[in-house]
Amino acid sequence: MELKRNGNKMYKITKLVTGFPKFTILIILIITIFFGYNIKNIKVDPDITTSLPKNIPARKLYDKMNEIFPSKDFVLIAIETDSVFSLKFVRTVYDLTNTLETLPEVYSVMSPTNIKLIRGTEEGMEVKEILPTPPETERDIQKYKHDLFNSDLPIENIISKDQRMIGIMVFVKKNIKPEEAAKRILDYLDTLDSPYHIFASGKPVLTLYLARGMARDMRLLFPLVILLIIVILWLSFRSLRGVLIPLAVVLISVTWTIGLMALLGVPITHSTNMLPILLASIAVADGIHIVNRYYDLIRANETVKDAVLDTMKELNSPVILTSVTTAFGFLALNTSNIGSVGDLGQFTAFGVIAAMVFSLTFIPAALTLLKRPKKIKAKESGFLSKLAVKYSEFIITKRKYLLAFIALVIVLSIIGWPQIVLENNSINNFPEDHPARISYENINKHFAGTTFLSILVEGDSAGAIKDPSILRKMDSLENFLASLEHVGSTLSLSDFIKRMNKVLHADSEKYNAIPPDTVWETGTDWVEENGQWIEKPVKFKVAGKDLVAQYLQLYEMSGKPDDFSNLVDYNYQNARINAFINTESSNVLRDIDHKTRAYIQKHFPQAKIELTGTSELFLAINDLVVSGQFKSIFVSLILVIGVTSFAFRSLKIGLLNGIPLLFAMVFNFGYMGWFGIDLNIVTALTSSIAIGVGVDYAVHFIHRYIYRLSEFNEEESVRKTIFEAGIPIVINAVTVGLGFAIMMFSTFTGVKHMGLLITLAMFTSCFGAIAILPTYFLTYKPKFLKEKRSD
Amino acid sequence: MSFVKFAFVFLLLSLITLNAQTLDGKTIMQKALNKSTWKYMQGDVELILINSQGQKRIRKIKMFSRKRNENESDMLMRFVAPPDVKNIAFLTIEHSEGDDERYLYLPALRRVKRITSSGKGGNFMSSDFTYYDIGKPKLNDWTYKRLEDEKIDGFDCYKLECLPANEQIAKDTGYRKILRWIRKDVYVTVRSQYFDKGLKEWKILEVPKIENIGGVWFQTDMIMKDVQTGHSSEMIFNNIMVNKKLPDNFFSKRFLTRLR
Repeated sequence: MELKRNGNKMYKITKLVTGFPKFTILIILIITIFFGYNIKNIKVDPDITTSLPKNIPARKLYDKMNEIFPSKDFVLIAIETDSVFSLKFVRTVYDLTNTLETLPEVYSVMSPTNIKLIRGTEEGMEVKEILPTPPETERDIQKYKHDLFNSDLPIENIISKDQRMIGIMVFVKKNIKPEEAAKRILDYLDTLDSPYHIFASGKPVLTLYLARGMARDMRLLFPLVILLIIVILWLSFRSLRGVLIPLAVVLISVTWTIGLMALLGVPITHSTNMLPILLASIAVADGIHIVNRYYDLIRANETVKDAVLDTMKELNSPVILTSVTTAFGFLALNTSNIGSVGDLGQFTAFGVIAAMVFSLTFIPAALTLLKRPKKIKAKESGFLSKLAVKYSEFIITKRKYLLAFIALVIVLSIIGWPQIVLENNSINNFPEDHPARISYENINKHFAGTTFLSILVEGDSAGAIKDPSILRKMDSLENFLASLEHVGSTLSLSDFIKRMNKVLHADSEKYNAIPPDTVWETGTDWVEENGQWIEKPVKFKVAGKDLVAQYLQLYEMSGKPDDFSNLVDYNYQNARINAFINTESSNVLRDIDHKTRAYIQKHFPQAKIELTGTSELFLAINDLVVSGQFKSIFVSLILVIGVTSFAFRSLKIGLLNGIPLLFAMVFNFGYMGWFGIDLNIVTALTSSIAIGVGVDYAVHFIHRYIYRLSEFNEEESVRKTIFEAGIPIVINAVTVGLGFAIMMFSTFTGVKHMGLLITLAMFTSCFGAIAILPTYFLTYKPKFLKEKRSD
Repeated sequence: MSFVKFAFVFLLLSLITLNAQTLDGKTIMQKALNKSTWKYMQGDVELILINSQGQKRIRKIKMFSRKRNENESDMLMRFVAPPDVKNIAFLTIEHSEGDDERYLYLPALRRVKRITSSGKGGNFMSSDFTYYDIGKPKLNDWTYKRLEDEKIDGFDCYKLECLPANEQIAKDTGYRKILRWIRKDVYVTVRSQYFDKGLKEWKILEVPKIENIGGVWFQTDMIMKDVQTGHSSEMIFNNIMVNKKLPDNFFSKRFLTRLR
C-alpha cells in the first residue's frame, strides 16, 4: 500500500542521514543557531484588534475614523478618597493632571480640575479652565464644586456616581502603541506613593495587562511543558538518550518556528502565544514512537545500525502521515479572517513539519552515533497490556453497552449545543483577582464606562457639521444612546453648541438646544438719527448655520486650537459622537449596536452615519470567530479526510478516519454548552487543532487493523490491534493531552478553557479511535477494509 | 506693552555705529524693540491654521490698528472670509495696567460680546500664536544672554537666550526660555524658539518674509509651529498701509456694530 511506498522513498533518506550522521546533525545545528539568533527580534503584539483584516468594513471605518481624529484610546484613572472635595485632594488631582499632560505619549487629559467651562457672563461668554490656578482656600473649593456640577457638560467619566472617586481621562496619541502609553502612565502612577486607592483601566491598560499575562505565560508555561516532557520521556525510557534526543527535536522545532516568525516579522499575539506549548506537545510524539521502537529492536539483539534503519523503515510512513494530517489541521486555521489565528495555523504547521523532518533525520543520525545502550528498561508487560486484553474482550462480547454509552454521550452533547454562549469579553478573560479586572470592574461600576462606541457623522462638504439639522440629528442620537442600558455617557460637538446657545441667551433653559435652521433674534442696531448714533432694538432673521459658526468662532477666540479635535475634524466636515459603555460583553455591545443602527435607519435613513469604535471591532472579531469556527472545522475535516483517503487510497477509509473526530467535536461543543465555556476567539481554535492532532489515533488504529485483517478474522484483528496500536495510542493521547493541559495554568480564562477543551478532545478522539472504530468493525464487518488487505 | 505690533516689528537702522562685538544681549533686544514705528496701520491678514493631519482653516481678516501711546494700542479686526463668519469684528483695547478689553461683534446675534481675557498666554484666535507672541515684549520681563552669532537664510543674526526675569512672567507666558535670532542689518527677529515649563522645545517661529513699508520693517509672513502637537499657524500680511489716519471713534465698542 501507499504508506509503504512512501516509506521506501524516505528510507533512502534514512540511509543517507545514518551514513553521514555528524554532517546531518551539524547542518541542523547551524540552521538552529541561525533561527535561534533571530528570536531576539521577535515582536509582541497583544492588541487583539490589530489582527483584524484591513479590508473588512468595520476595520476600514475604524481606520478612517482614526485618520480624522488625533486620539483613539484613553486610559481612565480613578482615584478613590473619602473626601473628593477636600483642598488637599483637589490639589493632588490638579498636580497629577498637569504632570500627566506632559507625558510624551499623552495627547490630552480631561480631569475634574482642567475641564473647560463655558459660562455666560453679563456681556458675553467665557471659556475658561475650571481651575486656572490651584485652589488656595475652602472658598475656592466651594466655587469649584459649584462650577463642576453646573457646567452642563458630561462629567460622568470624571466624577463617580457616588462622588467617592474622581476620574482622569488620559487620551493617548494614536501613533503610540497603546500598551506603551499604558505602561508609561502606570509606571508614573506607581511612583506616586499616594495615600489614595488608584485604579486604571481602558483599552491601553487592558492591552498592557494582556501583554504582561502573555509574557508570564511564556515564562511559566513553556518551561512547564518542557519539564513535563522530560518527566514523560524519563518514565518511558529511563535513559539519558531517551530523554535528550526527543527533547532536542522539541526544542529545535520550536526554535526554528519562533525564529522564522521573528525573521518574517510575525508577532507573538494572543493566539500565537500558545504556539510553543502546542508545538512542543505535538513534536515529542514522533520521537517517543521512534525511540520506543529502537529499544524494542535493540532488545531483539539487532545491531545499533540495523535497529535504527529498521525502526525508520517501519516508522517513516506513519510519522509522515500523522505529521502531514496534523499540519493540515493547523493550516485550516488559515480560513480564519483573523490574522493572528492564521499565523498560529501556518507557523504551527511549519513547526509540525519541522519536527517531522528532525524526527526522521536528527533522531536516526543521533542514535547511529551513540553506542549500544548498556542498560535497557524492561518492556512493560504489566498493567496496560492486561487492561488492553480485558478491554478487547469487553468490546467483542459486550459492545452493545459501549454503543449505548456512546449514543448517550452524543445525545447529551447535542442537548448541550444550544447552550453555548458566543461571547468575547476581554475582561472575563482575566481571573477575578487580577488587577486588570479589579480596576476595570471598579471603574466601570462607578463611571460612565471605558469601552467606546463612536458614531461617525460624515458631511458632504467642509462646514457641514455646523448645519443645525445635522447637529440636531446628532443630539437626538445622543439622547437615544444615553437612554440605553450600559451606556454611561455621551459626548459630541452638539453638547457644546447647546451650551453656548443657552449661555448666550441669558442662561435661559429654553435655549439649551440646537438652534433651528432659521432663527429670529433680537439685538441692537446702531442707527444715525439727527446726526447722532443711537442704539435701537431690532428683530431680525438669521441662518442657524451662521449662528452656529459664530458661536464656534466666539469659542475659538479664547480656546486652544485643538479643543474640539476629538469630536469634529478641522474643516467641520466630519464629526463623531462618543458613547462610553461600561461593559465589554460582546452580547451587550451587539444589542447596543443593533438598536442604534435601527434608530438611525428609522430616523435618518438618508444621512451618512456610521458606527465604529472599539466596541464595533470587538463585534467584528466576534462575527469572524463564528464564521471562522465552522469554516475551519469543515476545512480541516475535509483536508484530513482528503490526506488519509489519499494515503490509504480509499475515500471510505478516509471518511472512517473522520468518525472519531466527529465524535470528539460533538462532545467538545456539548461540553462547552453544559459547562458554560464561552465560544470566543481562543476557544474557537480548539476544534481545528484537535482534528489535526486527533486524527493520528484513527490513522494508527485503522492502519494496524487492516494489517491484521490480512491474517486474522475481525475479532482477532480487533484484539491484536487494541494490543499493538491501542496502547501506544493511549500513551500518545495522554502525553499530548497532558502537554496541552499545561495551558490550564495560563493567566487567561480563554487559554485555560482552550487547554481543557483540547485535552478533552485528545482523550475523546483517542476514545473514538479505540472504541467507536472497533465497535463499527465488529458490528458491520466492512468489506472495503478486507479488500484493502489484498493490495 | 504694545500688543498691536502684532506681526511686525519695525526699524530704522540705528545711526549709532557701535562695534557689534561689544553689544550685549540686552542692548540688542533694546535696539530691536525701539525701532521706528507707526501711529496708524492697516492691512489684510490671512490666518491659516493647519492641524497635525494637514487640514486647514483659513480666515481672511481686514485689520486696523492705532497706537494710543508708547505702551497702549487698539486693534480692530473684521472677518472677510469664510462666509459664515463674515463681518464678525474683534476689538482689542490694550491697557498697560490691568486686563486688556476684548470684544467680539457677532453679526448673527447683532450683539457685541465681551471676551474674558485669558491673559497674555491665551491663544490668539485659536492659533498657535499667543497674545503675548504677537505683542511687543517688555524689555525688563526677560534677561538676555548673547550666544554665538548664527546665519539664518544667509543673513547674519544675533542669537539671544531670553530667560524670564521672574516666576510670574514664566507663568503668564508659559515660556521657561526663548531663543531669538535677530537680523544684524535690520534688527528684526527672524526666528524664535520657545521652550515650555519643563524646558522642552514647544514652538518655533519662522519668518520667511520681512518687508519695509513706509520706513517700517514688518514681518509679513510668520509661521508658528507647535512641535509638540504638530499644529501650526501662519499669518500672511498684504496691502499694509502705514499712518493713514482713522476716525477717533473707530476703535470703540459702538463702532464695531457698524462694520457691515
